[in-house]
Amino acid sequence: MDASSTVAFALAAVPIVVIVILAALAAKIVWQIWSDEMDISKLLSNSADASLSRFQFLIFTFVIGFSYLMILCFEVVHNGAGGASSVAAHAINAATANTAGAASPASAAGVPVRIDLPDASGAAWLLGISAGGYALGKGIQTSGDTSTKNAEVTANAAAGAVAAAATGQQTVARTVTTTAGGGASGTVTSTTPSPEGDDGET
Amino acid sequence: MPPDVIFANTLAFDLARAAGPLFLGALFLAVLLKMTSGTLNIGAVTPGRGQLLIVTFGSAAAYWFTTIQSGHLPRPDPVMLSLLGASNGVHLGFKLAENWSALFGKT
Repeated sequence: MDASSTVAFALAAVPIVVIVILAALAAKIVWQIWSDEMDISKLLSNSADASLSRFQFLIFTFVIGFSYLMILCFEVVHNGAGGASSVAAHAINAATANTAGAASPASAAGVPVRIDLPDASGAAWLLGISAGGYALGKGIQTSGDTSTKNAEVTANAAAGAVAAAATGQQTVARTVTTTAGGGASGTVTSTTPSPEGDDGET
Repeated sequence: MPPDVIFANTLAFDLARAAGPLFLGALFLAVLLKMTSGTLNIGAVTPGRGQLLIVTFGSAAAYWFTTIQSGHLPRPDPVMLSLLGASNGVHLGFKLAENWSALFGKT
């Protein structure tokens, strides 16, 4: 297999493989949403389970992915086979007649021509907005959740300390009472309260 | 170009052109059906989220049709960018307000 046939095979196989993978992914996502396997019931509410920014990111990613592949295939067909004579070029010929131009002599002769990747700078705006919104929202939500959790932990620790202090005071008071009343040893060996709260004395 | 390359790319082009609207339409239908069936709770909508959902679908569809028409990936026009930016900004603003006390309040 020489170099030109390898390139031709890649040019034929890659678009089909990519579109099959993309379409399968899209179909799986749609199916999971339809079957409630992917839960979007809280998409519009104040919940961390479903994120609207992430949903927007998903939509734009697939739309731009399909668009990019479509434009790339169009350029391969148009630049390589004479544009208007191909099915794909004919499909959007009316809309792109003023920008597409005529086929080059090289492509008309069947010689592979240089095909540039489509300019995707316009799509970067959409992806940037949705990705930036998602990142900011994630940061706000996570920081808020972390602050709330830290506040709960601090409050629980403070409540525990207060309870422990109260139990410790009771233990010391009982020990002092026992000592004053003629206890056996009268020596306090531990002031750490046990879970039952009444075994901290000797 | 060899004919099989032309055929494969033509097929991929047609599939990609059909897959975009199908994907968008299926997602939109799923959201609508879940709204009407009550699965997607629109009673708990917080401000900004419904707007963002509508603008997202509208922008995606507009971008798709503009791509079909122009034959290249277009730069979104200022109106679309303003709509998307404003919707995302309002959404993030309300999210920030919801978490304001946790972030900046006294704990």
